Amino acid sequence: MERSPPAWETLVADAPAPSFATQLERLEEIVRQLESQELDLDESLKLFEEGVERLRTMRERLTATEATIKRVLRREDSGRE
Amino acid sequence: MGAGLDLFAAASAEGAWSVAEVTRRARAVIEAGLPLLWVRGEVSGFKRWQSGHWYFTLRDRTAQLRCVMFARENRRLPAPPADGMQVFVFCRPTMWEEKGEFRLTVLELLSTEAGGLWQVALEKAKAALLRDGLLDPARKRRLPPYPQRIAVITSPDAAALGDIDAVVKRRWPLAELVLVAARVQGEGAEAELCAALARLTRVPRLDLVIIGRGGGSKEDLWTFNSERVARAVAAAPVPVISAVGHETDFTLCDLVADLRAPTPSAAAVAATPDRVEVLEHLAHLEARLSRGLASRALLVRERLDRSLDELEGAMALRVERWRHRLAAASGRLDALSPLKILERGYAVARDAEGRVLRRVAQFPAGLRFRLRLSDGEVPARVGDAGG
Repeated sequence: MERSPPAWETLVADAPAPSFATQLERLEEIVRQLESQELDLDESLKLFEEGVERLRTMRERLTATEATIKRVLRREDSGRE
Repeated sequence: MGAGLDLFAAASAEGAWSVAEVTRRARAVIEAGLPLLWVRGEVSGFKRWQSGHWYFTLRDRTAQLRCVMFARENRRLPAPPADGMQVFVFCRPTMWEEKGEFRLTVLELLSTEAGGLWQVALEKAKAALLRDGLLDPARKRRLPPYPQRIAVITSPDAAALGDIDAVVKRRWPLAELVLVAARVQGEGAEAELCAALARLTRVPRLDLVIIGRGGGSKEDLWTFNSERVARAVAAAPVPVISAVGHETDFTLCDLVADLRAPTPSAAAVAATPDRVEVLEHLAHLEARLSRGLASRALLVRERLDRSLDELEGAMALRVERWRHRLAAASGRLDALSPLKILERGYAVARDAEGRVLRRVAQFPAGLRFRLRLSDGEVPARVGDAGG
């Protein structure tokens, strides 16, 4: 039953690594920390900059995609898609 | 009338029929005289043989008929009939020559009871799943809120896939769809659906799977009531949304899945967050981020201002203190100034070198010296003393 993996493996090599959920969680954590008012200005600035950068990339991911990427998982028992 | 019945002649080898001749003739007469027909009756003495053939008796109050339904025919049915069940059979009346038995060869069997055979099969499978805890609501997994890779198990040429794609594109375009093709009805569909579910383990970073099809007849949807498919759904490595296109009946697949959606489109909606809402959430977070930093900055500036005030206050105090000390010191200095003493009428005598002359012995006769008064100096000379 176990055959060599289909062409799928090469297809996914370029997939983006950080998950949107992880990014969003980090952003929410940054906001909470900034609001807690227990940081000095330097730390606050650093967090703020990180937050702004994350916001930018997340917005890009949400707006840039024009079409859904579709892939087909091939059958193990046939070489065709 | 001459020839009476010659018992001996009739019993001879030439005059008697063989058993096989009778059954063959009887079979021919029956099959020629009775067409394919529907028969209604109650099932009794049901028996399923190792070969897969079903044997049973169909009866009503006054008569009964032996029936056989061969494996190649009964395979299409979801479950065997139970004894006592009222059924319609579509059959060919015939003679079973080996047993000299009149019987019906059944080609189709329908139950007249509510739900019929489908219901029987469903209840049986459901009981098995229940026994194994697969219908426990506590088993249901939470769907990931921001999925990035969604597998779709369906027929590649059906509308369901297009529906799902359209919804995902609109709501959550950053998700990737992975089609795992499988037939969803007819011969082999059950095995293909199970195989597709098993292949999900090969998809890396998969967030969830939608398994389903568009609407169809009860028979078309039957594959999704298969116990095998239900068990494969329960064993899926990621949360499963079942979307078998029908609003009213729940399939076993629906019951076992982590979420049941009425249609493939509804499944796609359930699987994805709305991009517009997420963007709104991001805008909200952005506002909080700016406010957070601004309030941090304000706090720091207030503290800085306060420090500056304190610094200024401290400096002013210090300067004031110095000024006092200076005034006091200059007062004392003034009081001690030798000029002040001279003003009171004193004079200081100094020799040519400027040394202060304090004793009489320092004034020999004829010594020239200088007298310092408050407003200047005068030259002077010691005169002859008394003689």
